[in-house]
Amino acid sequence: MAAGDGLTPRQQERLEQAVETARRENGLDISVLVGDLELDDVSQFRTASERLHAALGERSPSAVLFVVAPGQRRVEVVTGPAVRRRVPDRVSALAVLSMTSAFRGGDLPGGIVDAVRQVADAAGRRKGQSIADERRSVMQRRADSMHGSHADPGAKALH
Amino acid sequence: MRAVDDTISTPSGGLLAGRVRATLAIAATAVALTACGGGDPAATNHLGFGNGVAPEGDGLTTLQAVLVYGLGPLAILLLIAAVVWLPGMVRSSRYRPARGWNAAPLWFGGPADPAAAVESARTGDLVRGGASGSW
Repeated sequence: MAAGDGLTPRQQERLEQAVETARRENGLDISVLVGDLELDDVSQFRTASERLHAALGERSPSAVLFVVAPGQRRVEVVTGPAVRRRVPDRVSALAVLSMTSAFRGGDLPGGIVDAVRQVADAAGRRKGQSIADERRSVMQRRADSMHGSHADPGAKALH
Repeated sequence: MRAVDDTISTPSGGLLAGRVRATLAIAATAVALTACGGGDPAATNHLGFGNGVAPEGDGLTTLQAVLVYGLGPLAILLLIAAVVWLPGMVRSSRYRPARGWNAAPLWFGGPADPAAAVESARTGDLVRGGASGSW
């Protein structure tokens, strides 16, 4: 498979897992779009991303959307009004920073997965989740990370 | 001074173990060399060359020399290069910013029908936050 031909099934699986983990453990509705947008001008990127965020329908107010355009080399994080307290703009900015530095180095899936985790961790656990649940999910995450091969000490240091 | 000496002195147990290891290594080397006939020149001189005497015969022709000293090493070199490069070429899925991107968009955790959802999307008056970046 040549470069630029998209994500491999394994990479797609990793992204799906990251999104699913954020939903399950942090109660955070994150979705990630990887692909270039059809735009006349790249300056419309933010507007187009907000439109994509609106396309999430009733999920939109409490959803976090990552738009990653590898060809246009733009990344956008859009947060709904109901979730902005859990994911303030500075958290989004930090996630964007860690993504751009990873992408520059050629690590597309790794950068996205780490940024999703970063945002989910910053958002904390979902409301009403007990300490016991939290502990269980931490243990589960540890077990997961032992199996996974996505350890990236450089990106982790950003937390 | 005493404290410094105390900290750098090796525990006697470790020293003993080190000596035993060294003795074993020397013994194993000696046995191996003896088994190879290192102590007896006649045992290893299978071709029967005299010490300091040029061997008889015509030697290599130019073609043979090129084959042995030119093509042989070249073949080995190419083989090693192939072993190093091939795995990377086969699964070179790494993203390179300068090469662009020609894959269809993928939406993880997105709406069931992205095209229709985007078509009917209304931004409304929601105040959205977030951040942007480029690389």
